[in-house]
Amino acid sequence: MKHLYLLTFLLCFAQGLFAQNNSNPNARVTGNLQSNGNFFISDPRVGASNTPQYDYQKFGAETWMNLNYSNWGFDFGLRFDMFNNSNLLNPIGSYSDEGIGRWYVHKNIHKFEFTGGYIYDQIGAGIIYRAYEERALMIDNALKGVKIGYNINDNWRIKAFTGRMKRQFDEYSTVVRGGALDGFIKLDSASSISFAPGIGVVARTYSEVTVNQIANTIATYPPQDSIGVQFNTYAASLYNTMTAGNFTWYAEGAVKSDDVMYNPFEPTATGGNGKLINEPGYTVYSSLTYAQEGFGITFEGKRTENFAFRNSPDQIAIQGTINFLPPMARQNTYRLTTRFAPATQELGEQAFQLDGKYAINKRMSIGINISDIYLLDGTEIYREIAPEFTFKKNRKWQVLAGVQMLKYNIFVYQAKRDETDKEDVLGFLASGEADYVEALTPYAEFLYKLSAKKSIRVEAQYLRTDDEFGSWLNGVVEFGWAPHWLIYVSNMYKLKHDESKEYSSDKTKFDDIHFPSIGAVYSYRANRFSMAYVKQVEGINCAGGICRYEPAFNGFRLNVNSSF
Amino acid sequence: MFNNIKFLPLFGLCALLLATACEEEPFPIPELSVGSRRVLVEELTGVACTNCPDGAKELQSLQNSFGKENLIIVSLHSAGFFSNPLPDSEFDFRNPNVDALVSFLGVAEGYPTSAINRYFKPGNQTIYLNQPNWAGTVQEEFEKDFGLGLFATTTYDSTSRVLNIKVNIAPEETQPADVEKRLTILIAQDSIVDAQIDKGVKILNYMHRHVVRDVVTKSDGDVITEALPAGALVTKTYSYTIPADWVAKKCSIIAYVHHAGNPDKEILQSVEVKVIGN
Repeated sequence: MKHLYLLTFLLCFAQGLFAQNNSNPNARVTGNLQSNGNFFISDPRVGASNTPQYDYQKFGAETWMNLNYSNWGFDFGLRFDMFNNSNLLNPIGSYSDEGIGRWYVHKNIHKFEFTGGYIYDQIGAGIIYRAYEERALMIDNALKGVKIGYNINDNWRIKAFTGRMKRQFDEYSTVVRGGALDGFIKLDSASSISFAPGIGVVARTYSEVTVNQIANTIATYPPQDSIGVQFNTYAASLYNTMTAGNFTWYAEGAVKSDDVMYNPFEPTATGGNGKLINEPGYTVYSSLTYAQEGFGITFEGKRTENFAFRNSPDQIAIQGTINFLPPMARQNTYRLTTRFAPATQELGEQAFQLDGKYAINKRMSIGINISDIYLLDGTEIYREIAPEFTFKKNRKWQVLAGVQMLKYNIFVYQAKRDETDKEDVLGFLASGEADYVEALTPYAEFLYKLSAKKSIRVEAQYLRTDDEFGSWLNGVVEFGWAPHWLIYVSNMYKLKHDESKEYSSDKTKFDDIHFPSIGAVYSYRANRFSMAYVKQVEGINCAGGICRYEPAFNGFRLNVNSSF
Repeated sequence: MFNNIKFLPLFGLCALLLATACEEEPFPIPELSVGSRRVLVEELTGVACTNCPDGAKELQSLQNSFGKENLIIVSLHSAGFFSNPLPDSEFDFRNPNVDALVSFLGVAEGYPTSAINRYFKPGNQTIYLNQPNWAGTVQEEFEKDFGLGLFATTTYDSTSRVLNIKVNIAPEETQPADVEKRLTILIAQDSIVDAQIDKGVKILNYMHRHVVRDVVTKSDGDVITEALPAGALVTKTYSYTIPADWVAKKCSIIAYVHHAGNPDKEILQSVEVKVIGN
């Protein structure tokens, strides 16, 4: 009942705001709505079954409704969140709750700014602190607290914050506080060289309940596994962006004091794996970019050791994070090239990435992306080499083609074992080792403008591998009718294994199955409505190196996105 | 470019943070201890659950530390498709009454996972706890005591395979009358050798421990209608016929008294007794 009162208040408040907006030129009301509805149809053959949604609920939904109001020098915000039988929080479970997901008040007074409520922010690249929202992964770790900023001058700014981080409609008991100084330096007005340095510090204080739980856990360890525990962990970061002509160089180094973390791979004295450790950590990250007309290249490197930074050591996967470590592989966009995306290894990894694009002329361009990730013991866990070519014919059509050559350690990333390949797909690059997915995925996309308003886009990929479930084909045909309509049909097909070879039933369970999707999108001004039938295989969904298990889906999806 | 006065806030911030970054007093690690209330771990598992054997090892290690008489482990093979028998499986550990019990407890959030005295941790969405939570929660559960004594005896006729179970509920403290209590009795079989997936590798001769074969009472528990004042004695008796393909000498019954609310299903006391030789 309290949620009904809350919703009624929200609607009345919005109505009042709109009335004010119309009568008061200084008032500004904006907002947005995002709503997803999923209708579940059981299909045990593809694994779309054995969850509450498929077994008896049949429907799940998520909604975020945001209102922002500005007047009298204040900014106010309010967001209503709703989850009905949602599997976003737990892919094999069901979550229902609703309430105020966010509120804030913000005010600028001379050089000061004050914010109270749920605050999204980060320090540097986010290595020591990032409070953000990624709805598709059910990440929302906004800091419920207060932030104060001060503009020292036009180029220098300092901020400080304290609070507790959000956990659905509650907060973690841990207190997080910190601050940062950011600046901008230009040697002189004529110079093309500038610096944007910064320094940040964050302190995390566990609650007594959390420390007691850790101490009770340590009490069960044999003496050789025992560690200490402390209430406070401190992290500091130094970062700088240097711009010099066509060059941009970003560098950040961060250190963290002793921190109790859960390491699932740490061997125990009793012969198992998985225990708490209490270690300091560090991360160094740098990216160097050169860009000029027609040519751009970026080189990134990163090394991380013991840099899990969470609200509690019992939070695993994507839960309870305080920070964000930059991913070291590109965000692929095609369905089959995203199938094996690497999750950032916060306890230890070192990686480099090279991304280059060159426009041969106005019509043709080439690009390449190379990404290589290792554990700290030198074990290579991810390698991607992806050259790409684009050709545009006037404004009539364009084609993009590329190939992804992939090596992916599926045991490290997904805790799945994979036997040695019976068929070596990438003999020139890899040797079909056990626990690795080696795949070659050529892809192409063709866009043709039928008229000024109508276009057709066709994309196709072929994932060739002997690993996991084997090889796949994927094709999409999309018809666009500007400014409103987009209609698409796609099919992902699991190619049958070579029947002359013996494969386990687990590897062949999706053989010869089609995974079709058909949908339509209607856009009108700042509103977007979509409806689709989707059948999709299980996999992982990653955004920025943060990954979540995505269960198989069969059913209908409705989505609404609206801004006002 | 730099104005000392304008950087005063920076120095103030650094001084503040540095001043608070002092050495802490070492936090004492408690000694391992048990209480009069036993701890029951209901492990959710399956023969195809690739990460579950690691969880089972940790639970066994905890049981070795605390003692079998204090820490009771039962394995519920009801983890969706993870519990489907493998092509090489000789046994099917699934049971509809166990499925109903697991459904009563709620949905897990990944594996390995266990319910520990059915304690619902504040902030969680499920009664099940993931592995990093187990050791600390077990130790914390030993510090709680609801003042409820629970005892059980069994008599078994090897010819008819009829097992008679007698459970005595003996509260040492008066139990609140306004909170419903229920009695659940499981029958489990230990040391069953059969196939299991362990981190992607199929092990044909894996030793399955404390497998719950059936639920003797209702899956969500039999309601205890009697009042439970201090010093009372409430006796419940049950009969169960052990199927021919079970090894009776490796079986035991696990009885526990618990709440049945939502989300409060906390176990007040538990006991494990062997079918033969108790």
